[in-house]
Amino acid sequence: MKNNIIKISQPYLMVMPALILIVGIFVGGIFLGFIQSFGYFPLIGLDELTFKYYIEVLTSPTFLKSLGFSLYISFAQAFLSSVLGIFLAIGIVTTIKKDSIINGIYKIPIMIPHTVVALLVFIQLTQSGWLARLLFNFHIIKDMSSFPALVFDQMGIGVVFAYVFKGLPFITLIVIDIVREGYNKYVKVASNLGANKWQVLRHIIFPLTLPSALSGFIILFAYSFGSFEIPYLLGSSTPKALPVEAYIQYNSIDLLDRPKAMVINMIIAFGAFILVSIYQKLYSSLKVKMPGGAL
Amino acid sequence: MAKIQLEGLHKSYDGVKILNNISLTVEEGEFMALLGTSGSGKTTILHAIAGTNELDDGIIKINNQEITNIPVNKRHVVLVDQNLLLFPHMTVKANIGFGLRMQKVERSLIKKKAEELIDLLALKGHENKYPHQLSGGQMQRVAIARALATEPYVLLLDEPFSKLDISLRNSMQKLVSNLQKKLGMTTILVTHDKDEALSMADRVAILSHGKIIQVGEPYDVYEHPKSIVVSRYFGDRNYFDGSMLDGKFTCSHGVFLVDSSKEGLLTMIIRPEEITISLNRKGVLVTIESTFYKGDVYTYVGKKNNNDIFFYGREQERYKVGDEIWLNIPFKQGVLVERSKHEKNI
Repeated sequence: MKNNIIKISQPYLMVMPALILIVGIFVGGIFLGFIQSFGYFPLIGLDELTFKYYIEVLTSPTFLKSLGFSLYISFAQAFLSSVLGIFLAIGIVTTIKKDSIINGIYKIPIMIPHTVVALLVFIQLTQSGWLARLLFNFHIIKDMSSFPALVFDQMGIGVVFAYVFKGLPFITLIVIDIVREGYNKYVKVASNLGANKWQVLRHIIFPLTLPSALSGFIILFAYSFGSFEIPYLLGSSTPKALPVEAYIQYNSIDLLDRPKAMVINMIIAFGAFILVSIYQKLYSSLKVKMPGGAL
Repeated sequence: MAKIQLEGLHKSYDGVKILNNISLTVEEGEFMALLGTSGSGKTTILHAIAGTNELDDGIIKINNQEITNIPVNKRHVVLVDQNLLLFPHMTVKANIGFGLRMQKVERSLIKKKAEELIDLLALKGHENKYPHQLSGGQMQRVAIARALATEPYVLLLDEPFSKLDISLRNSMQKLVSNLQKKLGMTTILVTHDKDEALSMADRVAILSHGKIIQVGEPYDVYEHPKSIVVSRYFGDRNYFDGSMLDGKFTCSHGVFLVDSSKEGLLTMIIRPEEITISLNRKGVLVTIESTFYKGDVYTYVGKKNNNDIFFYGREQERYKVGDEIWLNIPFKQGVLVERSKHEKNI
């Protein structure tokens, strides 16, 4: 009996040092945030559990605007990255030889940190940026101030652009081998059966890449929904993305705002949890349909 | 149904000639087999006809109309590859109907055609399955149904049975043979399996190093090969080098009267099954050097003057290595061909 207990607990004990970090920091942090969101924060004298902060946050117009803005940015960038990423993969596969060095260039933005990307976008897209100067020098715009505000704008164009700069190559990376396999294996067969170029894309390449692109879409959506740096550096003052709103609340001089920050964080975490669940469900159902195929 | 003509096809890869002046006519409704070793150019011919491979030179005609420069999707020629390549994201039904969908045929007609082919190829009950849920034989049938659905002018089969086990291969060969006869579809089969070519095709074209070296009915090419190269495709045979003069063939085993007007240095081909074991101690005396059991017969290799002679024996004619036996070698029935410049025979 004693031996049995030791035998069962042995693997858990062996991974304990690594688990302590994960459990301690991640789960512990989530737990603390969770109870703080319900108003339990003894340090500042709040020691009763309440829904008050949830009601306050969820009925606040600022929060609702931020939620809408975050959903919009996440969807727009994930959608654009996915669509453009597939087309970039098709372009690379159909025009560039596999062993060409150009094949690797598209991966560079993946390695650049988000803060650096924000800086690059800032340099290029502000009214005093490269693009505005270029258009001005070519007399396409009369003066630099007539260049549209693409950064710190309410439409979040700069934010979306920065995310697409990072997300597009990511999608290309995850679909390029499927596109290559599609072209190597199935395109000749489809053409031989009478499909023209557009039909090949529509009926063969897009459906084959769809499961992976969809997985990539969800990853990008979930990431940007909870990501702070880019909307903080490139976003407008109003509306703010949810993580920025949470950060501001958290950094407020009034410590009584802290539970509200935690409510927002919990909502972000819940959103991410839902997205990960959708991703897993989608992945396993598509894997049953196409094992080893397009996944 | 369509007649297909290949005229002077040439193709090289990296300076190596793959097709060297290939000309061939396949008649309407005919089943032609292209037989050859790997690299002989047979698959390149199929891809040239299908339009998936560009030619350096030459003309391809279907029903006397040139199709050499017509895009692959407009040729009405369907190729079934040995890898089958069923679309993994489509069900059996969708795979079969794919070609018709591309032609924008009405949905009801596609459904009807797919159902017909599902019945014809015994795929009932599998129509909503995905390729990975099918067995090898079922995938094979789906690939053929998919090709037949578009009613192509010509059906091209590129070693479609090579990855199947023997029993499945035999049943698929019969199925395709029957379908071809039933539908009367002009068909070209590429294979390196002589039995497959001989049993399925109306005519066989034998390729070597990018050239067609003999075309004929299966019986003709098997019984009357025009060269040693052709003969070697059909397994172990005996090749006796000799000379012909005044209807007499002289070789290391003697002088024999032969019904042929050919003269000069020639090689006589005699198949192992034509050689019989002589019980009255007449003919050619050989020493058994090795034996191979092949189920229906024993294959023996007899040694004579340091040369191998292949022949068969039945159960009641079993011999051991080292036994000496007499053989009747029917030199009168042998096929005379020009001597190979590269090979020395018996």
